[in-house]
Amino acid sequence: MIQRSPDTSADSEIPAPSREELASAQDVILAMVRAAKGLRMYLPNNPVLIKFIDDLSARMLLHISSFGDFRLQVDRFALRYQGADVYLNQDPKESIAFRLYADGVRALLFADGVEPQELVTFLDIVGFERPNQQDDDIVTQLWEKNLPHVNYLLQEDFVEVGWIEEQPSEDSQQEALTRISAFIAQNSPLPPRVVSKHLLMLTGAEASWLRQAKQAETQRNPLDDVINILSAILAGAKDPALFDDFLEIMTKLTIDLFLVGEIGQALRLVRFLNQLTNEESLAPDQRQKVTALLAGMLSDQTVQVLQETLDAGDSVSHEELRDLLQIFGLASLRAICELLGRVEKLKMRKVIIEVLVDLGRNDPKVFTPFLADPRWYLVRNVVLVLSLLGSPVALEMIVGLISHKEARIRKEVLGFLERSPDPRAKSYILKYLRDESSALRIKALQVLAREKQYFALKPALALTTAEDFRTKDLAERKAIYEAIGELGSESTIPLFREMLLKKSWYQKTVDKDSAICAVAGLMKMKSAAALQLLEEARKQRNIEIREIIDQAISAISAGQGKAAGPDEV
Amino acid sequence: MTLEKNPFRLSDELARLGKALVAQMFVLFKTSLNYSEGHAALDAPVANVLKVVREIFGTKEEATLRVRSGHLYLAEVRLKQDAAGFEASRVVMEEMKRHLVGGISFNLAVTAEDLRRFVYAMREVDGVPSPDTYTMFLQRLQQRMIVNIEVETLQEEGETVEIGNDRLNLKLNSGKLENGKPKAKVLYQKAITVMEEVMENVRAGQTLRLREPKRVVQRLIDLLSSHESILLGLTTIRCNVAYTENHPVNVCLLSLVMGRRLGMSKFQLCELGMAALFHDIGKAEIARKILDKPEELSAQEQQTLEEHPLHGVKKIMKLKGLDVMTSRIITGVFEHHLLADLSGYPRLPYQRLSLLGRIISIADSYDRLTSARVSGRTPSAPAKALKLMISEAGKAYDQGLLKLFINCIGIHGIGSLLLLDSRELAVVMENHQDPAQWDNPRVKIIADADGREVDGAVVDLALSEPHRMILANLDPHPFKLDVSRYFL
Repeated sequence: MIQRSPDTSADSEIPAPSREELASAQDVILAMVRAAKGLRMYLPNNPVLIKFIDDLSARMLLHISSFGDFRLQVDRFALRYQGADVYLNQDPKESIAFRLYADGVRALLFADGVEPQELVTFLDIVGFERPNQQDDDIVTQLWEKNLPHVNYLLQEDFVEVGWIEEQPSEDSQQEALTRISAFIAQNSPLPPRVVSKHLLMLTGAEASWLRQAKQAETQRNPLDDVINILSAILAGAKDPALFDDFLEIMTKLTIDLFLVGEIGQALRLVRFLNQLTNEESLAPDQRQKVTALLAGMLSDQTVQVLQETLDAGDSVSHEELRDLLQIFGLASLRAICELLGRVEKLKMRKVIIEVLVDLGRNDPKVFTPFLADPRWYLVRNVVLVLSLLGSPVALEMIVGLISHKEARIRKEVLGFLERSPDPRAKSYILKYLRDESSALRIKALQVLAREKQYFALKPALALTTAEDFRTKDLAERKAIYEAIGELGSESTIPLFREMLLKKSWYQKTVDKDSAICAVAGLMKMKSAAALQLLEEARKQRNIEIREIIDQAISAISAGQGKAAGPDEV
Repeated sequence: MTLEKNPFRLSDELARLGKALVAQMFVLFKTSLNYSEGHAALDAPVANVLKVVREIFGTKEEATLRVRSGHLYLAEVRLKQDAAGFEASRVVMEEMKRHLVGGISFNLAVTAEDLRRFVYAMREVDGVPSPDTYTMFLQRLQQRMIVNIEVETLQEEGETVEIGNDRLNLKLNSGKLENGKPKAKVLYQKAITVMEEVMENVRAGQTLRLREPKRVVQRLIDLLSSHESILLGLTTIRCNVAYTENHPVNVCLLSLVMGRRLGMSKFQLCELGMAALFHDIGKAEIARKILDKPEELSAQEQQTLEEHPLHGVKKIMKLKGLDVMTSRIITGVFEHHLLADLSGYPRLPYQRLSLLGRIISIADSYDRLTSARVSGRTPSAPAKALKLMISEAGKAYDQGLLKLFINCIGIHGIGSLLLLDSRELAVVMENHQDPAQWDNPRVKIIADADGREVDGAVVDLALSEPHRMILANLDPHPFKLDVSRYFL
């Protein structure tokens, strides 16, 4: 609804706009409010928003072409067109007028030629509240956007004129002038020795230098400049208090850079701080402070951001990551292990593991505290690292984890035992034959068999007579007999003969599972006796079993028995 | 319609053609000064102007050169000045303003003869512009039957800020804003107030907010385009009792003038202005008894004072987050005493000076040398300060930048006290940008030949009748003459 403003002292001198003009102005405002809301609600490419903007633009252009530039007076909660309220919203959070007024804007003008994009930019600035604009208000933002057809007048364009007029007038300077006259009368002032003008004119080389300097300035990275400045201060500060202040600033900046994902810049600072730890011109306690601050940089937060950055793309190279972690070193071991637990990118994990292996090479016991960590992935990662270290000390450290409640850790330990060159490691594998995880039991059997750990034959045979043997699934039973076949060799032929040929009293044929297990064991044996037993067993009436045996014979003959998997048998 | 589209991208081609037109017109004006109308020396300049005009028509845009708010425009494209083209822009603008011409339009049918007649019609109008200047110029164009070149009258500066509804316009016109001087004073005072608040906040360890200073700097940049000499005049304001925030504002203005002359964009100028405004923020950490000490500082006190760049960096880093603007400010704060040959302070392993730091360093040095309470105790007259700085050119100051600075403030720096051969005393108010007139500044007569104070006119020594010459350059400080009041 259009209302005449009560503030009319000066308005009375202005001819009132026609009804058509006011209606047009209100149309523009309505379209403007709609577009402002649309900008808040929709993505830039949303057709609804595009329609709103088009509509606003069309109404604005129509108004300007019909009635001239679109001028608005800004009041606390209202926008006025030639004295008439065309917009009124008293909610400070929603009111466009209030936002403009609060930032000192008192008048707006949209000039002929205003483009849709200018209107969008304008509404983007004034259309809704932005709480995090500490260093900018509507006026500074409008200035920076440089909208050629949107102008504004500010509060200070008016009120401060009065302020300056109230300044007291100056006293006479006659006394000073008299002193000067007296001086001139007594002394003959020397004529000005002005430098020759041509010496003050820019030469071609100087003009070129200025152009280049201006160009170079645009290419400077402001952050680089700050880093250079802080580095220079820390490298040269003599005052211990100043050094401490700037060390704190540098550390905070480094952490901030980590947190915003500027890992390359953060690494630059970390490298510099690391250099300081070896800088002999610094006092020992200063170097210690630097070391301590470096040690505290990898926190949960920074590890999180680092992980996200590493997994997100290639902004950090392998070399940079390696360098970074090596600088953080043992003091940040926990965080590095944590990082290893979180990073998913395989190549990055590999780098982290390599760094950890380097860090623990001289003393694997540095990892001891982490083996008791409640986070399974952390423990698993440490076991992986210890396994790569492969030293006797590492073996001692991890045997306690064979009975760890987390299967993934036990699996890692088993892997370690498998790879360990220490002869004692293999005997620990026997413990896995009673592991609660079938997969780990099978894996342990396979390892023992492959590694020809003959001491495992007896425990393996014992498994076949255990009460729970029949309850195990076929894959595990097969694995047990494969191990027996591999380790027991010819001595186990009678066992397999019985399994392959002996029929139960109530069955007319051999038990199929027994046959499968026996064939698996014989295949691992790959001897003439094993082949002979299989040939003998071909006379089975059961076609299914015969086919299994035939396949095994073919495989052994072809020398592929070793490679054949359970399903192939 | 796509919202991503950017319709504001200036036409590079038009900008290029506009600059070329200005350059060729400049050559034509200059040539016409030395040769008579029919001389063959004008053939090439005339042909070059015509060639550019034809190229402009090839873009389907009107070939109209306009002056608006201290800038030249071709069609609607602003022709940004750079160091190389500055002189050409200045001369062309001055020629237009001298005839109260706001725009020159070339028709498609324009001929070499039209151009020759036009340029000599301009030559025929001399002296200071009067209200009749434009009418007289139009008459001359008609007498010379120039039909393919049209001119528009120059709009008053006040009209360029005419926005808002009629009531607001009335208020605008009734105030002094169109004059520029009150507006400049208001803004200068505002800048001082803002910086006082900033310094107080810094002393109190409160978060540093840049909004108000940024707003002030943006407005200074806008005002510089139309009122450069007024703002430069305000830099002569000094407080000889205690350290005040005049100095940062002066350094800001002097730096902005240099940056503008270098052709920096408004965004670069904003960063430069902010860095200059904050360059001494570290002094918030220095005791007032040192800053305001009337005698020379002891070695220990000097050492304390020299820590202010480091205090400044520290304060900004602690009280403000790091972004592009604060990075620039930190650079200015840290580098402003280093000097071009890095012989200044803080004495640290730092090698790569920024242009921003170099500019601020020159502006800071000049204002310090001519002030009593910034760090030196004895102020120098502008001419003496400049002479001192020139002696350090190529060492403490970059030669090119120092020359640029002197080009901005003049050989007789603004605020210099002059004794004229008429025995009158005068203060330099404004300098010519034309190097030929550098030693003939515009001055205000402040005392007659008998030493009596007068509220004299502002006289252009290049044009004054009777002709006046500079007899001596005097230092106003020993006589306790406050030259700044002539700018208020």
